[in-house]
Amino acid sequence: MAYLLKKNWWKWLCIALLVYTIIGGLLFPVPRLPILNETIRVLHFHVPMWFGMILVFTGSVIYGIKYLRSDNALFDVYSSQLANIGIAFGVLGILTGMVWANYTWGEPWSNDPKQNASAVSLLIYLAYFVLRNSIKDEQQRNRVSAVYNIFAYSLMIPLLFILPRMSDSLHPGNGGNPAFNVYDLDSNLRMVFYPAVIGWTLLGYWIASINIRLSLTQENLENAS
Amino acid sequence: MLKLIELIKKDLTVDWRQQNPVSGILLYLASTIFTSYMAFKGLITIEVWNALFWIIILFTAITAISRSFVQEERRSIYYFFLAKPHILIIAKLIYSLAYLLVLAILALFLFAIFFGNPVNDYPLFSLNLILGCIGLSSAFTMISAISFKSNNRSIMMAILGFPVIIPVLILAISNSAKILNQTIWSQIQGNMLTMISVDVIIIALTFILFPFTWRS
Amino acid sequence: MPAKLDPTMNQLTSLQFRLSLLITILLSPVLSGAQVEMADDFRGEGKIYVVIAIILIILVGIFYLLFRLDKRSRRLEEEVMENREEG
Repeated sequence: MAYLLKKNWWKWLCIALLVYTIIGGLLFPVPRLPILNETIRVLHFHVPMWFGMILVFTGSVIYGIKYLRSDNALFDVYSSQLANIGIAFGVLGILTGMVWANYTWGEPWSNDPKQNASAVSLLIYLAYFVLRNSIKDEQQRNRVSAVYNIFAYSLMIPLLFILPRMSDSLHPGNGGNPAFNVYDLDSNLRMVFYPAVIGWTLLGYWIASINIRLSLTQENLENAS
Repeated sequence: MLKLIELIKKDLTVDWRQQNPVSGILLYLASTIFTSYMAFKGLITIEVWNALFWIIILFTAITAISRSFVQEERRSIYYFFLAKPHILIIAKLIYSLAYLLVLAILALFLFAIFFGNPVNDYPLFSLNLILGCIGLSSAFTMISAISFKSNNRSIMMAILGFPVIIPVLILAISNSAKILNQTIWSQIQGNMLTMISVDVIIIALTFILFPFTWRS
Repeated sequence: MPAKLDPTMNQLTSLQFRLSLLITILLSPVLSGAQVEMADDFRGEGKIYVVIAIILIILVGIFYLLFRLDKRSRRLEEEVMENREEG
């Protein structure tokens, strides 16, 4: 993150990838599948929100661990601001997912395990911010919230990856829906999908880096006065 | 090792001497079961029995274990010198697990009285119950250590605890529903192994992370 | 004579049959794919480029704003640091 804060090249990479995502995502041929029809292109915009959310939360947890090892308040700023962006991605993912689900599955919320798991992971990080706000002492707040971040994240992973496999999911590959798993994703889709994930995730880190710089500046101001 | 037993003993004697919280939680258990008996009269199928049982275990666990650090408030400085955090958390984990298991058995007994007893396969059912209780008690012990530091503990306990406990709860409920419907071992083997690994993850994380919350 | 011709006739018809079978199998994904409704007309009229152009303009605008925000926050950071060093 310290590196990302200094350098600019990855922002240009982010722009290039997202421009490519828009053009490729709307123009390239896609597999013709029933139920999904043309909306299969949402894959490049909805799914990267989830991948981005998980990648941003992962960054948040890594800085949580770094904080616990060093007691350096800088890492807490990194960690909490990344969590902030992760929540934004999660909310966007849920909203876009509900619109897509309304079209393809017939209702916005259909008790799908992946939908539920994503709602739970949002709850976890909303609780993280409630916890942060409820502790006055700064060092204590940083430490306790880092502990909760690590604890909850490690339990969210089994939720996201194991539970959907236990019961029937409406998501691709299960329950009669056309499959495009990561493994048998159509090569045309894959050519746009992976760059899209990287591009959206970089956009998340970009916004987080601005937030981090602002809150560090604010802290500096408070310390100076 | 000696300190470990001493700490567990201390928790036990504190709870016995006060009596207030223990009788309170017993009454809580009895009244929730009786209330749900009134509410669910005539609607009980095996699935409803199962879901209700686990929901009541969940709420009993969160109420019982949320106190486990609150009572240490005045004594915490004293403990800081007395025992290492690792030993302290092991003592807490063992004590809260034993506490929850006793409550779970009581709940099962009360359920049998009010709702009937659909359990056939006792070894499997109790194995699943024990695994579920391990997950619930250790996760809530950790969450109570976290929420101990915040302003409004009882609300924080629920907000922080429920999302975290969902993996354990879903696994436990689906397993026990299958067991009550007379499933053979090979059909739930995978789920059981997942649950054991989730339990191990929870305990390992608690063990690693607890000292950080305790240090200040 | 007909008895002699018959085998070749049979071979011919079976060859024809096989060829037609092969063609149907090869074409089947295309044929069945065409049944799935896609926005082909929309694409054929070239209107998709309008959509792409509009989204790209918005995206470029957002990136421009982000870069400006980036610069402003960086300048603010430097100013605060300088003030701190002076004071």
